Amino acid sequence: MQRDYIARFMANPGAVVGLIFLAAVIAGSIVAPMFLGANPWEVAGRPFIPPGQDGFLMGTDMLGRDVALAVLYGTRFSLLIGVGSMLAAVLIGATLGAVAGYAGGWVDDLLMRITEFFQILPSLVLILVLVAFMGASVYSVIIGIGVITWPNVARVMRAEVMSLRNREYVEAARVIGQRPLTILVVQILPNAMPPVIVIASLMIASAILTESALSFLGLGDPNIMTWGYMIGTSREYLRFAWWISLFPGLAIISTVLAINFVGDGLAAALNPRMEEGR
Amino acid sequence: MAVSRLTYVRRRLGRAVLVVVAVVVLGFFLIRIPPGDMVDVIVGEAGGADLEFVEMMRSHFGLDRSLWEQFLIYIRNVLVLDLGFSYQQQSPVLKIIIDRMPITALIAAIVMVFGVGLGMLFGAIAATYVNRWPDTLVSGFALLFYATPNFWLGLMLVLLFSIYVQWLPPFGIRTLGMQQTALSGAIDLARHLVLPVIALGTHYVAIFARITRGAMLEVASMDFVKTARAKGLSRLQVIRRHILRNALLPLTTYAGLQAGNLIGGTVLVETVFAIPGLGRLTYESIVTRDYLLLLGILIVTSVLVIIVNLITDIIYTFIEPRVELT
Repeated sequence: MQRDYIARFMANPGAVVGLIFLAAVIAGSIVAPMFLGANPWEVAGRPFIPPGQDGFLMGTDMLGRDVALAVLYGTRFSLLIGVGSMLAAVLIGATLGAVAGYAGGWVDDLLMRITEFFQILPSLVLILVLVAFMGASVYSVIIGIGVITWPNVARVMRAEVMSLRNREYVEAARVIGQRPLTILVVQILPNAMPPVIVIASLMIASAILTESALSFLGLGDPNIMTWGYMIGTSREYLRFAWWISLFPGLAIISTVLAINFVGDGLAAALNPRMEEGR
Repeated sequence: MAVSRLTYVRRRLGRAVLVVVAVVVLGFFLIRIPPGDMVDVIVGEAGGADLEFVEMMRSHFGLDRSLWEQFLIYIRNVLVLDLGFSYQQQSPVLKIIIDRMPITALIAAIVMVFGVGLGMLFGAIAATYVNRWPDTLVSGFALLFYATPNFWLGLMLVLLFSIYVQWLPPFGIRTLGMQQTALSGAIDLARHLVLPVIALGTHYVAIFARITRGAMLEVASMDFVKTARAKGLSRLQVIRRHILRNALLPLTTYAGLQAGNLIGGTVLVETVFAIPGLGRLTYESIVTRDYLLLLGILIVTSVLVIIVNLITDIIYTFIEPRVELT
């Protein structure tokens, strides 16, 4: 069973390439600072050294900081914030979705209205308000992204739980006297997880995009080096130092693409029937 | 259970009003998040004020009363369309927002037309040549643009078309110091909007291409398409009259759902291109910590999105009479 999953995932070349790429970037962002220097804020040379000169692969920025090092540091925090906000969204969304799907009736109605409400709001404006009001920090960014993305998880989880709650094995658990909460957690949730895992993996990618937008607008954590921050602060120098903006952008695109490929691979691995239907 | 269109519209309208009320109530709680009360924030940002003024503002906002009374004051203000006063810009919040709205509405409309039009075209090409090279090309570009942040794309377009080859202006909406007639003014505006529209629009082209492709492939396997083919219609006729037309339906719903998303996109693109619209205003209100203005923008844009969704819901019932209204 487990081996089947892995085999189906491996049969998808895009997913494998994506996974290898991600593994390489994560390893790179951990190992590289040992060679390149530990502090991305530190001045490493003259300002505005073009890429490839004086040993700076991606050049230096307006303060003479190493762009390559900053991009690598950005990987760390982008992935951390991506995973963190995905967990926040799954925590809120999966809980509410599971309760709505299992309880049904007015509880379901109420929770679904709340879900729709959060889906209809202009999400970027909402998160700007939340982060600006809470003060820019890693935590407010994670909470903000969690608040605007949980409805997606809630919908998927609700649909899964609804399709599972009347299965025979769940009825059986009910007959032997298991309590509703136990049934939900022990019997239903494990089987409802595959689609949630797929959507969660894709949410890491969209969280990275949202975080980069926030940092670009100056609402990222001021103490960490992120890709969006690099693009936002260097854009006035675009005319004579394009490389400071170019490389962080390429980092965002390649990471988001890789995560999307892995997500597609997971979808194919966890739900083979869906792929055949396409 | 199916109901008449009138009942349906009335129900949708009722729900929309409820959502607007929820947005307003949400706003009341959001403004309580920043440390200190609203007056502290305003005075702090204004660089201090005399005590009398501070007390006057506290009583204006009702901050010296109970939470419930504050809530009632807030609701009363919103009902008379008073979203507060921006001390940074020395003007009522609603007036500032309305002044900045037209250019953003123009950009949003162009982007939507551009996105839906080209998206449908590319999606239709991909679906027609499914799993052959045009499909691979379209799907590949869709994935790529889906992963590209629009603010970065905007900067790279400026680098290429305004700095490197100097074909198009890099920022603003009109050339300064230029004598303008109506026609030359319109052309000037159009030239300024080319890059912002591309930066924002490619994302929607990608989304709508994927949706169109998916919807067309789903329709293509249905019986009525087989019938159309069997009675000897050409491939192009089948695609145009039978497949594409039926695949349009899911597209309208998605277009409505993208409205909120689009407003978020304008914040980034208007910031990059220094376009004096609602998006740029959002950025300015963040930089100047103009909390009341920022909250006002959230409320106004939310109401706009709710209205757009209501309209697409109603349009939907006209183009698809078979849909069961609930």
